[in-house]
Amino acid sequence: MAGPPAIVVDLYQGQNDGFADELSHNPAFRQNLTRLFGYSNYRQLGQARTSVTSGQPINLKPSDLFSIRIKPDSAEANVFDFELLQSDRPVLSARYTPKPGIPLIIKGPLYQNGVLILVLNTYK
Amino acid sequence: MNKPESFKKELQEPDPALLAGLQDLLRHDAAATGRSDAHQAWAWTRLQARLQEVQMQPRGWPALSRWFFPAAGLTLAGLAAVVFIWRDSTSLSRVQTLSPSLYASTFYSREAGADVIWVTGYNYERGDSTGATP
Repeated sequence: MAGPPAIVVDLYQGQNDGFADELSHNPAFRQNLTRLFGYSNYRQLGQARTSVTSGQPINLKPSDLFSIRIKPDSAEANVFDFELLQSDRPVLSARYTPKPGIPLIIKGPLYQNGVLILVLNTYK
Repeated sequence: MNKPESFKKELQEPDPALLAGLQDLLRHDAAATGRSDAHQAWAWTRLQARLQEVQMQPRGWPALSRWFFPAAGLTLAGLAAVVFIWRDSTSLSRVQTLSPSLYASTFYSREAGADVIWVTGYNYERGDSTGATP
């Protein structure tokens, strides 16, 4: 029997120079980010993960820059309501039904000479 | 069978696929030209304002412009040949920005193999878009 789904949120910074690319170990993912955002180098600024075991809200904070408040739907399996917060400011809310192997990528604000990127993966 | 209510709704609301397509074009343009987040927000604001203007046009001759702009957008989308939208495939619903300055568009990006929320218009008043350090 499969365990409860795990949610992992990564915060990345994309930029063309200023730091070395840290995604050389995952060229496919790096290429996907490049296709979306156009930057050549990416580095991870933070990560947060949790297991969804009940219908209680969960806060995931990969860094001080962003956090995500997730509330599993108590009536519908594999459905989450979430709210994205930039520092302490609410940015957006959405309802999300994860699909296997398909991450959710959220464009963050411009940051230094690049952009911040949030990537949400769900594993069963 | 005629469904006046759904027809009315269709007339009042811009085609979400069209909006997503135009936003996708803005995204590609921003990535290709290095345009700023503020510029993207401005472009998105203008697009929404223009669509609203078009929707408010009275019937008759001005109604032509109602179709011109979406048609032009679709033509651009075809020319760009980079729009990969499977709106029906997206895993997201009820997406709502929680600040009046923010604009968000959602789409499934086949080229990136991901569901995407493209947010523009973040707060830059502090001189730093994040107001914090990692």
